[in-house]
Amino acid sequence: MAESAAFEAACTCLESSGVLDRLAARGTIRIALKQAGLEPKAVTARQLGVVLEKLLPAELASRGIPSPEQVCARIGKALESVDAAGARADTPEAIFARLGGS
Amino acid sequence: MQGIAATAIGLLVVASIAVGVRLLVLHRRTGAAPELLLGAMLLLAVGVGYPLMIATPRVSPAWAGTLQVISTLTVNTGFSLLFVFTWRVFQPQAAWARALAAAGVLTMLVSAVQRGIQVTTHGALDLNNEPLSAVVLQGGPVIVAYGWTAWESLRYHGMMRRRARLGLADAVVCNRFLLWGMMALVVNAGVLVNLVAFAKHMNTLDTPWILLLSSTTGLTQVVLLVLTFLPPRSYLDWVRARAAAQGA
Repeated sequence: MAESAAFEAACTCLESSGVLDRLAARGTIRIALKQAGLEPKAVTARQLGVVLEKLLPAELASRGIPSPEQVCARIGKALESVDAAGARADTPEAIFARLGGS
Repeated sequence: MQGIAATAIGLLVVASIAVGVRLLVLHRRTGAAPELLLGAMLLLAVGVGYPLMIATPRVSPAWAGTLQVISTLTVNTGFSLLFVFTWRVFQPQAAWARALAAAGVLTMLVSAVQRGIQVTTHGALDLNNEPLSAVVLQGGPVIVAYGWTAWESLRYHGMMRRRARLGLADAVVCNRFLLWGMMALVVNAGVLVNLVAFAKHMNTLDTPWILLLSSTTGLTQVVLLVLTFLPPRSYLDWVRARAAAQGA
């Protein structure tokens, strides 16, 4: 199943920063997303931005990565170029907001 | 006891029609499938199907068979739409979910056709004396449909709670998943009570404990359905205030 463009961009950026290999980079971001209640296939750049700010630094620090905030800032920059239009619009959250009249 | 049960089923039918119509009106505006699927499900299965099912033993034998076929068709079509709704909303890209939805729809269709043939051949059926296989074929897919939607909704509610803690989700929408999941569980409790009664060839309209449990689950469904899809402003304010207090 295809992951979202934001997830792929974040993983690619983390991997290319040289602090983690591909598998570890994807796994680390997946763990942070799970803590945030988000799914790799649907996460948006905006949601990932919050994860970068609030959860990922601690995850990277727990893996002994120096300057996790700088790494997260670099990922945040990479997410700026992610096309928001590619995100799935009709998520369960959007549907239930609509169905209840929110 | 029969009065309470009649009130409960009456309220459930009215609430389902109200929510169903509101969702179909919403669909006219948005053109989106979920509101059409859920609105049609509530209208067909509960708004039309249940009253026809209840009316069947009370009309002349000449009409009973026709009503039974129509009620089975509307109820089974409605619950088929619930399978499609759950697939399209929660797992639209998963092959297993598409297969499960297709299997559910097919089973409901087979069940309806089988009952149609039986009624055509033998006349209106006495549902209290159906064989166990027929009871399971009719009720099993309904339990699977509501069980699946309960699982997906409560799973999503867990995710939404974690999002809400980070300021990524609205407390009201988060609560809506909990309400819908609970409503599905309550429906299943009611269906299970009736399946056990049918399997034991008990009269569901004359047995006090069945009426009591059916009334309780029916009234609980009404409350949960209204809070999910037609919530009063005071309830929404309460949910938001509670979430704000917990976040503080």
